[in-house]
Amino acid sequence: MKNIAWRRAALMSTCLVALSAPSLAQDQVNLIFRQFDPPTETAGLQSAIDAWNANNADIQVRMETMAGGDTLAQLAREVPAGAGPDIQHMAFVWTRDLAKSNLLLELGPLIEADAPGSGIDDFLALELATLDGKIYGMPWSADTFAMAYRPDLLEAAGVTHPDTWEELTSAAQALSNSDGQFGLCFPAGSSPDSGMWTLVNYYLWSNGSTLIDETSPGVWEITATAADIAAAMTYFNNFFASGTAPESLITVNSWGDPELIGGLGRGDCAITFFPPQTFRAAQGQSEMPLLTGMIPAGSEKRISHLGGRALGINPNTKHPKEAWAFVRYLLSPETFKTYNQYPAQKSVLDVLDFPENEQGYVDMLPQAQTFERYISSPIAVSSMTGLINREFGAVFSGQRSPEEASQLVLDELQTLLTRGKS
Amino acid sequence: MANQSINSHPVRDLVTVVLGVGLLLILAFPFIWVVLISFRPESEIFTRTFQLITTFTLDNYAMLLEGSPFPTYLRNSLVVCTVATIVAVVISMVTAYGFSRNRRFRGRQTLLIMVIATQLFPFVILITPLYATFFSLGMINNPLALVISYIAVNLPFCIYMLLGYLDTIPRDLDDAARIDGATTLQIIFRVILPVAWPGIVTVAVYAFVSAWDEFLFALTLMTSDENKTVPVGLAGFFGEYTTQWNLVMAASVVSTLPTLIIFMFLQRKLVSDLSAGAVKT
Amino acid sequence: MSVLPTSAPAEEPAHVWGKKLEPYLLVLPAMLILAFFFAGPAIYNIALAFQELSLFDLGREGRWVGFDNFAEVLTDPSTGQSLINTTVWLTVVTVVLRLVLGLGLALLLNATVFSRWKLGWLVRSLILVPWVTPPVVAVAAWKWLLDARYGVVNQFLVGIGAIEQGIPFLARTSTVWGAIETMLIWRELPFVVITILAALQSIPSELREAARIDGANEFQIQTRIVLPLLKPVLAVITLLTTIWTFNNFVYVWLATRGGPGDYTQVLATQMYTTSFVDYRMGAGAAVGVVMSLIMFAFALIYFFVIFREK
Repeated sequence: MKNIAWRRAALMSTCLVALSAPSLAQDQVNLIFRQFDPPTETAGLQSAIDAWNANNADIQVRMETMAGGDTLAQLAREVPAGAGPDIQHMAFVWTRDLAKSNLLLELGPLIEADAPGSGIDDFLALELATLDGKIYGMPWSADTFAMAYRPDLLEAAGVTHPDTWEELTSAAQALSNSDGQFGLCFPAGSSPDSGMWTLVNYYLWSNGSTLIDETSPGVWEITATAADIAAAMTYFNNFFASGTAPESLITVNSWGDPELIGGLGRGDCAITFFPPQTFRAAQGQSEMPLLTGMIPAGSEKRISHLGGRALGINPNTKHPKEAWAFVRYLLSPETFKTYNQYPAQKSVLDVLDFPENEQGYVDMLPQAQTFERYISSPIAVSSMTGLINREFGAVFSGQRSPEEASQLVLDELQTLLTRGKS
Repeated sequence: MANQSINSHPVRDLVTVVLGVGLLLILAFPFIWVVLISFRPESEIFTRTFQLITTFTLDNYAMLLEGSPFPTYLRNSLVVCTVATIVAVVISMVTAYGFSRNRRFRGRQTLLIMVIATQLFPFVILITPLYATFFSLGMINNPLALVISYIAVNLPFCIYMLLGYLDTIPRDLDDAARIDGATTLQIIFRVILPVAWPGIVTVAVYAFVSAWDEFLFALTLMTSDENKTVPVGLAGFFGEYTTQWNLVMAASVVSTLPTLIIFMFLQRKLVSDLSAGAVKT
Repeated sequence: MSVLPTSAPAEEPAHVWGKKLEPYLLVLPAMLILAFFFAGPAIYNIALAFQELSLFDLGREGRWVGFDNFAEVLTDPSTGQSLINTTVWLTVVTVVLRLVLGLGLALLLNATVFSRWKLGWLVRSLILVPWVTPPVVAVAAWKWLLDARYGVVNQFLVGIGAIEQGIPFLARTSTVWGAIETMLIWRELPFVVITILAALQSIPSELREAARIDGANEFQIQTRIVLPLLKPVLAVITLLTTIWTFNNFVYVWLATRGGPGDYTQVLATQMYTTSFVDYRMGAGAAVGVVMSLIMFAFALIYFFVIFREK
């Protein structure tokens, strides 16, 4: 707190100096924009920023990169100390946690003064950036997952793109052979950041279940039953039990893992699931063409999640107006010409052309739902993720039966809920 | 060393060398693997991960050294780690001498236990207050903050290790020098240092390697690109959805070279100094 | 024992005073740096363990909850398993193996033939290779070597007929600890080797020669002459590697993240998960303090058993 006060004083004195010497046109503003994607995914972003810097001599922006996993903790250290970047790249799911603790600037006044894009209602997933009716982040890029597969292998086995979870099971069976080709590959690791979490939720949601729900306003309850969770565990474990997924996946956490990208590329795996960036990397390294298709449907519906990145402004920034101007630029169609991401705005998304092999994502986007329900709940989503991945891993590795593990999940969710409420 | 050739047995020598070098090669194998992969085109890293022979390319190194800020990270690491190592070794030499040659001053045991106690706390929690401290000193993105951190982190091991070595050095050396009128600092750096050289090299290598590998402090205290160090740069190649394994491999080969070269140099110097020392005494 | 009494003449009180002060002056700079760096954060860590505080509220004071966090850690059923994993599988096994293998390799590499053939500096540098490989790359390379289907290790084992099908070492509870320990020992062994090598180098060759002339064989020389001289260095290595390994987070985290399930969860990963996945900094700090207390107890006992002997 002392630091912020000190900074304000410093800020005021610089303002005074600036006022007293208006003729000096050296009020160039320097902003820092911190993002967390690796260089291959950000070359286009860098050129968009270069274009901004060339056109805005008075507002110069420098891009800073920090590896994703560490960004959140670093912000939590910096902002209370009065430091941090001016503009912050965030996962959708972080915004509300940061906003709750006043680590983000409320954007309402800036939006009112100078609305972004084609109006605030054009943005996807805005609810994740909203707390108590106030907006703390701008949804920037959106993504969802799709099924990715080798059409040549499917054709050879006489299998069409599986449309339901049951069909996926039988397709995987047909695609597995004794030459070491497996029907399905997926990240089944037990890490708190394992991709398993996403697939578990697709399965639960599409079959009409959800881990936690607001049953009446303000009342949160664990809504999935032990049977629902055990069914999901049995479903995925069956791929290992039947030998249609390689056992080594039990230790694979990341979508970009060599087991998945290489597996598809070499033809060891016929089908997997990928976010768009991983799909592009896999296609770049595959011997044969890859295709994307929709996520399998369950008994109730077909669903995937709408994830993505948002942009926020640091409450410590000395230049909120300039930072906002830059955020607006990043949100504009201009940026997405070079930045290879799906924009989180309906109007911009509509006018973009996508490569044919990414059709699966285009088809899934309208069916995608954000993690809003979980994020609003009293349990930290990351805790739920860690718990689910751990217990699914325990089932896959034979440490617990689906019945034991699902009961453990329910018990611990209940503990987390009780703690979260207090 | 000539006197040792008296007991040389050609067969036993050969067996020893073959065994030793063989074991070292087995130990080095995972790294040799990394080196091989670093010369592959990106498209073959995943699909041919496990083949020994693939297309050979220098593209990864070209991209790393010309198309990425990695050379800057390398330079930063070299500067920070070298300075921190030298200072840590000098300070711990003085400290270890103080502990070694004074066995019963008041508080000695307590101080030695306190030194070990610094190793007990997990850095991932210590880092938060340290960030606040360095920020209030205006030292975020100042390499000096990293130098200080690495000195502090390495001191405990260096002190203990040097204490172990100094204890084996006979006091007659000190006494003789003192009679000749040398001050304590002169004794430490003119008399003891040359004799303790093998221990000092080991401690220096330890300090250098652990600073070279350090991630958390570098990540937290150096956020801008021009101040980053190698481990943080390496982490930047790992994304949530994709990882540039070609650059990771090339970067890890490049980043191991300085340490190996420095150590080879120190080892050669060590060997020549030892034989020189053997002549003198 | 000490040089003090012999070299301080009684008729120079000022000099005596300076002599008395000297040890403090010598150790002062290091103590100041350590105090600046560690004292505040350590106190902060301990204070945090008595609070309920979210990661996002680090700038504020948390809610003081007394010993609640400790009660939670100590009654959590998974803590017992983490403690066993940390102590036995992560620490004891790897420290013992590192000492044994490190000692053997150091004695081998210290053979005079290497210096006679001018290979000494080379082998002493080659041994460093595992240690200078960045951990994240070392673990990735090992994962490939251990790959169930294509990995060299499995192909070798299948080739010699030891197993019929490749084993996914990191995915099975029966093999996962062995795989993690292999990675850890592989990367950390060089540290033990070069430290022992340096100690061996400072042993005067006259001592061995004298023993040899007295008719001792090579084995007797190593066990009766060399080993006792290595004792101080071995004592320090054992103490420090034990503490570092007990607190180590990197190998388990990079190799398995504590999985499959929670099979390889150790205290350090539990602390990390509590702090940065559950965002509960107070509870995470409590795990840290418990770890520190265990190691402090170990260090004290060790200190008095080993260093008191002198």
